[in-house]
Amino acid sequence: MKQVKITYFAELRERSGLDSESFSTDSNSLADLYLELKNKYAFTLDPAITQVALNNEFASMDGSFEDGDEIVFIPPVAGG
Amino acid sequence: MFQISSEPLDVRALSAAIVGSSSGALVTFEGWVRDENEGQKVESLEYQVYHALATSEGKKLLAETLKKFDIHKISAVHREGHLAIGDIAVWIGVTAGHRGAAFDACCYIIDEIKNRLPIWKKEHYTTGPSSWVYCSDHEHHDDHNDSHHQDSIKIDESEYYCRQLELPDVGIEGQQKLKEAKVVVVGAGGLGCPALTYLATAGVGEIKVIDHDTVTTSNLHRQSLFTSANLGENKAHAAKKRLLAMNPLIDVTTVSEALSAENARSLIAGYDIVLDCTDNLKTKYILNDTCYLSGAPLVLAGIHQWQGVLHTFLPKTSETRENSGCFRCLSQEMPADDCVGSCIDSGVIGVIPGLVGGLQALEALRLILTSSAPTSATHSALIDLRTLSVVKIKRKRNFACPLCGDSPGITDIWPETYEIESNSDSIAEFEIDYEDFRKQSNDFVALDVRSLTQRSATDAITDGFTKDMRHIPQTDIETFRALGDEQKYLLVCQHGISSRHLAATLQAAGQSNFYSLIGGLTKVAQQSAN
Ligand SMILES: [Zn+2]
Repeated sequence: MKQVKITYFAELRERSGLDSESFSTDSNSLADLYLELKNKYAFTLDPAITQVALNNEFASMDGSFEDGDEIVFIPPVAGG
Repeated sequence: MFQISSEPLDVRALSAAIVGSSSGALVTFEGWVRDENEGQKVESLEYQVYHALATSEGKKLLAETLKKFDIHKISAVHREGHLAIGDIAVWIGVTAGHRGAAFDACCYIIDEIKNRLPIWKKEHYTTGPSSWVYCSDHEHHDDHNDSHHQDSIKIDESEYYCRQLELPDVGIEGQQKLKEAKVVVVGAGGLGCPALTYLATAGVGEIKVIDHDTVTTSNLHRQSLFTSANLGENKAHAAKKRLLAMNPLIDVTTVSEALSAENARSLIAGYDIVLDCTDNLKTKYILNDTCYLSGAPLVLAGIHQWQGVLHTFLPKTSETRENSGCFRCLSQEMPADDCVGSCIDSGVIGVIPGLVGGLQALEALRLILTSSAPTSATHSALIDLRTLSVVKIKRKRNFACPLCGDSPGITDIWPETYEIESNSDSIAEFEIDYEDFRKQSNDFVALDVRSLTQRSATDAITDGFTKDMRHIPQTDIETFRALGDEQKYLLVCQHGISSRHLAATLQAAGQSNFYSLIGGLTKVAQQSAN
């Protein structure tokens, strides 16, 4: 079990109703973690079109993460 | 001859240069630095000159004077830089056949230099702080074609920019850089209006506004360039009028067609910086690819409710870009436009695009004024304006990126690249048309899944359909789960997008009894109107 801090941005924030949370997971990749959350909060966006930042650097959804990491999921933002 | 000199003046040599055997008179004027101004003791003095303008205006003035008076030769020199008490700040010499014309011409020139030339003087007082003052009340005639601008009010260039000239990072040189800069702003909406305002008033010499939309009432609360007088007008045209009213010293050109894969390259050709202020992802990708391929910096932004993102992508020729990637590097696939909420669906308060659009202008100004790459060229900013937090996320080039990766597939702008199969084009099995629904409406329980605010904003037109409908906001996923998998439900939202996503999520979880109304209430209203 890994414990990570997840921050939700834009639409994901709106759907989860959370700015951020501490989350326990067995997921290995960031994509798996996202899918776990997508199911929990009924996110509509595919991981392929969602951006992710790991410890303040953009990362690949295929990448892994470690206990204690800070993760931000960032959907495409098109309002203007 | 007109000159700006940073060296002390050699008065003898200056006189000698204009005296000839036919001259009956030489009149010279020397303006000296004195030790007092309006009661304050002056220690020394500093002149700053807006070179390009001062030199061209000075030459024009001397040519005019030669025509106006019966004189032979003129020479005028103005100092710049640091001067001590007793130094000569300005020298004028006129030769003529007769003394009267020479005196008159000399008087005329010194008056006009004070009136017309963009020269500032900073007096260092023995007591108190120093300050920049104008040499006179300028009445400078700029070389813009006034008929080109709607109003013919003369604005003095040096006075207009005087507050920002004080700023150490701007100064005379910076102001000249701004004047020579050419910036394209794509989209004159919530982000575009503040971005354009600050680019124009900072003195960016040439601005192109691209927008195909017209001003509507629902734009006015956030699109600060427009008033009710602009309703129905093309946004680019309305923006141009307003911008020139704010700063008649710049040039604004307009494009009232939408930016597309076909015209993107030609629309940004010749411009130094591109601002993406659009509200759709397709255009953002077209701009990302076009700017990358044509080597123009791109400042791209988006907002969602109280949050915004800001990316600055520098051209591939610069060192930073090689390391910091492009917009395509950030996600694996280009999303279809209907997958994310727009301002229409999610709501927006004017100050949010106001601030984020203002930051876009700031990015552009920094790119113009400073030669070194800003931090933002390697970091994107996630801005949360509810909590006033800005998180900078470091970018890196994605080796697999189809545009800037190691073996790129996108090497030119092809329209097909941007024809993403939108989910809305193919109808899912769980989507039902309004007409079909009406035929079998007894089998279904319809649920209104819009947010509360969307309901109150749009109920008037479709009241008959939604009046008795049970309301469960789309975000309340647990309530939908609790509805089980027996009774057939029709999910209804504003445009049929949220309801489709919701139905898809529930279907995927085994609740195959949930359906979505195609096109949502917007389509119901259209069909009822027909
Ligand atoms: Zn890239």
